[in-house]
Amino acid sequence: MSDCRISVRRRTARWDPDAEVSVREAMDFWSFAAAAANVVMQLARPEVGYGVVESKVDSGSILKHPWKRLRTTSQYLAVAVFGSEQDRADFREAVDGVHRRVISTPESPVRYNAFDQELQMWVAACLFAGLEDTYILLRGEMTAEQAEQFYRSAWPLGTTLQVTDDQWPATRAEFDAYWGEACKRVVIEDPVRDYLFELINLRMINPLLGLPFRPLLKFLTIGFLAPVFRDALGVRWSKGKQRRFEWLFLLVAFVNRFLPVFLRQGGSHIVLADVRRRVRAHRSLV
Amino acid sequence: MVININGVLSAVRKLLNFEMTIAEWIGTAILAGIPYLVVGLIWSATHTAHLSGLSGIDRVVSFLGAILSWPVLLVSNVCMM
Repeated sequence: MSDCRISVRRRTARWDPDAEVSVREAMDFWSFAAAAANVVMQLARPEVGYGVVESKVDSGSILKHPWKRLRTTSQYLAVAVFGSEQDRADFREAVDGVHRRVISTPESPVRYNAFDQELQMWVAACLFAGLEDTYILLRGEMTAEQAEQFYRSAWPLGTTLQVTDDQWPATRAEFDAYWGEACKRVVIEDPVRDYLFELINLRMINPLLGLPFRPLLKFLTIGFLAPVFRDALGVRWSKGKQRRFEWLFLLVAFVNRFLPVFLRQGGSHIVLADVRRRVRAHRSLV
Repeated sequence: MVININGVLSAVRKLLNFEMTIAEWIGTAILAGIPYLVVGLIWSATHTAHLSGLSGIDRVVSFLGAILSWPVLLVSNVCMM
C-alpha cells in the first residue's frame, strides 16, 4: 500500500485543526500542479491508457488540442465539485456523447469501453487521490474524521458520470483497500508510455512556451507520482528531489494561506460560468 | 430599464457577508499595495521640483510621503514642504 500513494515527511501544520473539510478546499489553483501526474495515473490502467491513445475523438485529444482539453478537464472538475445537479446532468450528457465513440476494436491490444463503470471508478479514484494529496500538502494532515468527511464530499468526481454512489467504497479505509487492489493492475506499455512522455515533455504546445516549463512540469509530475506509477512509467526520483519537493510545497502552502479564495479558486468559477453560458447558448461543451 | 431590486439586494448582502481570514486580508493588502507603491515610486521620481528647497531628513520624508500620497497629489498640489 505504501508504494501506491506518495509519502511526504515534512508538511504544513494545520491552521484550523477542527474545521469541517470538503473537497472544495482542494480546488486551489496550485492543485493543478498535479494534473499531469493524474493523467499518468489514470492512463496507467491499460484499458484507460489504450482507450485514450487509440481514441478517434480528435477534438478531445490532449496532444492535438491541448488548450481545449485543459478547458474541458478543468470544467469537469469545476462542475463535479462546485456545480449544481443541473450542471452535472448537462456535462454528463456532453461527455456521454463523445465517450460513446471510445470503444475497442478487434485490433486493440485490450478490450475497453468508456462506459465501463469499473474504469470510470478508477479514473474517479485517481482524481480523488490527486486532490487528497494536494489538499494535504496545502492544508496539512487531516484527522480520521476529517479524512472521512473529505472523502465523502469527493464522490461527485465519479458520480457526475456513470459511477454510482454504492460503487464508491463506503469508507475512507475501504477506499485504501480498493486502491491497493487496483494498483496491482497498473501497467504502462510502450504506446501509452510514448503518449505520456509527449505530454510531460509538453510537445503538444508551442516550444517557446513549452521549453521553459518542461523541467518544472517533469519535477512536479514525478513528485506527485507514487512509486508504483514511477516504476511503471520508468522514471527516477531521489531523496534530494523529494526534499526539494517537500520544501517547495511548504512554501506554497504558506503563501496560499495569504491568498483570498477568489484568487485561489476564481479560475474554477470562471470555467463553471463558461459551462453555463455554453448550455444557455446551445454551444458544445466538450 | 427595469432593475430587479431584490436581485441586487441579495447580491449586495452576499458580498457584505463574505468572510476572509486575517491572513487573507494581509495577502490582499500586499497584492493591492505592490502596484500602488510602484505607481507612487514612479510619480515621486518624476515630480521632484519641490525637493530642491529641502535637505536632510525633510527631503527623505517628503519623497517617501509623495510615494504614499500620489493619488492626492495627482489632483492637487498639497503642501509638500
